[in-house]
Amino acid sequence: MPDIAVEVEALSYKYPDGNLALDNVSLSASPGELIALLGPNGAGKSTLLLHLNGILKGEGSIRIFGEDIKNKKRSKIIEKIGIVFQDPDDQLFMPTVFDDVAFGPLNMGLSKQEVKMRVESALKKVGLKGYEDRCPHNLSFGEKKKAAFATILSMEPEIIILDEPASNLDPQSSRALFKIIKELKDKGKTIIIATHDIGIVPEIADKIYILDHKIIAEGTPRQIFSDADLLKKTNLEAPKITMLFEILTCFGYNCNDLPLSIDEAITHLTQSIETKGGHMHLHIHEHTHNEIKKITKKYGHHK
Amino acid sequence: MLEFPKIDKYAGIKSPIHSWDQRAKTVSILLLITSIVLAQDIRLAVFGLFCAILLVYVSNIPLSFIGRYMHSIIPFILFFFIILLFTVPGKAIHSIYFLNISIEGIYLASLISMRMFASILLMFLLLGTARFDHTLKAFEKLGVPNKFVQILMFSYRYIFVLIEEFQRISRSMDVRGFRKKTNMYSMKTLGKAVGILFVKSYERSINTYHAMTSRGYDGTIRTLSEFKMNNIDWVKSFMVAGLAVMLQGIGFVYV
Ligand SMILES: Nc1ncnc2c1ncn2[C@@H]1O[C@H](COP(=O)(O)OP(=O)(O)OP(=O)(O)O)[C@@H](O)[C@H]1O
Ligand SMILES: [Mg+2]
Repeated sequence: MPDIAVEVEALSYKYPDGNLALDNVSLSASPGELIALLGPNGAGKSTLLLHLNGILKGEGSIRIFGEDIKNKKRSKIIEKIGIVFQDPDDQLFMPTVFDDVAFGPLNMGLSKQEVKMRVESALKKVGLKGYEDRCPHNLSFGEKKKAAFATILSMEPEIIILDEPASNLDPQSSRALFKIIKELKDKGKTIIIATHDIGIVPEIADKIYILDHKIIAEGTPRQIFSDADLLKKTNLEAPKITMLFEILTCFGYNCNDLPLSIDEAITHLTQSIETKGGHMHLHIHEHTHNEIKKITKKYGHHK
Repeated sequence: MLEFPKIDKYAGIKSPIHSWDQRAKTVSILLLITSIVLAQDIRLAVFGLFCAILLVYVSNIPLSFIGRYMHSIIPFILFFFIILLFTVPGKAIHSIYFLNISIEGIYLASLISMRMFASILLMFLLLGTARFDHTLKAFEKLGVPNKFVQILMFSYRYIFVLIEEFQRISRSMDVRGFRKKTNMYSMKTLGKAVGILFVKSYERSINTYHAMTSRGYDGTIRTLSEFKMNNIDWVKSFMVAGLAVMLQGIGFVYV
């Protein structure tokens, strides 16, 4: 297998109205990697994702498993790469949820039995079991998002592109969705997600790209989220848990690598308490308040 | 908000007509409609109408629901009735100003309205006793061209979306204080709103097309459908198709 699943090189795109949405963007994802695409509203995230399976065609090149998509038949591309749009109303067009989720697999020429199995399993995964006969148009927005995801899950592509998959989902559903995404990643799928959900990114992403028409930064979650200036410049924020631990340092908690997720926080707490003989000491000294102020200011939380 | 009764609103209830295989139902009912439309004798048309009413009765669809549809269709039939009444040449038995009513006119007007009414009832029966997407799948299985089925499918899927989209725009204007009046400003604003609706629909259609090609659309829509004919389906089909043949037979032999 080639060592790069998705490779975008020097991609630029101008909308017909003259709006330069992408400016010389390059990005790459190795097989099995999960890439998070962050950036402010209007940064061009959706525009970039629409290029990856050939819907939009900008200048520059896009290679999927080493092959330029310009030279490939559309039907070959879409079997490899599935895209879930930001707006589920764009994604769902059949008269029933079942038909919509079965649409892709049927076009792939799978057997009746196989299609049925895939539809059933996709709907079950996203929590829409029993919705088979509903008209997609009449679903709630969150349900539509889930159904839209199912239409791609049922195709089982190697590369999955998700544009804001969790927007408008209730907290439980959002958790469940990211759990599915994690499972897909564990199965070796390559995933690219555009999201504003900062809290979840460190838990799932191997690499982050920050896009604002250009690629502003690229790095691991740790590299990105410890760069306060960068975050501020790009309308981003560190995860809440990271902020909390930075504030804890003002109270004397010893912490060099701030945890980015709950899991990391638990590990960190456990370790530092264990090394201190089962206790943790926090205290207030004269500089504490000033230090806290500095931190809240850094994150833009000052009152 | 307005309510739009879908023709297949009562597709979920139980009746011998509902349980009838949709393909067989389609063929048999269309056969019956053709036979009624071709009936030349008014007694046969009356019998055809009677059969249609009986079938609708058997289908258990609430009368009030049928009434709502017929409400908008009856004026249409009436219109034809009146036109025919006055335009068919024949021996005048009554005249209003320069318009003559003839026996032939009455006969033909009654015959044709009866046929229309029966056909519409039967069409209603066909479309009202199964989910529309199921009916489309039956059409597809019966060899109706895929392109035509797609047109029907998308019309069905998006007509309500379009209506709701307009309602959304109108509601959004409403909450911001816009009231419809018959002045220039009001007209202009409404015109713009309709314009936006067109732009939105256009963009929606492009996005949807992208979604379709992204999932392998190549001009043909494929769906999974399961149809199974059992003995009872055959019996029902033979009964209704037999009715159709009988109508023609009687017409041929006796009239
Ligand atoms: N069809 C279009 N025609 C013209 N300009 C467009 C079109 N779609 C998007 N744009 C513009 O291109 C830029 C990038 O839009 P895009 O939707 O890719 O942003 P995004 O990063 O996905 O934003 P968000 O976080 O809000 O989803 C924006 O400035 C937007 O206004
Ligand atoms: Mg977007």
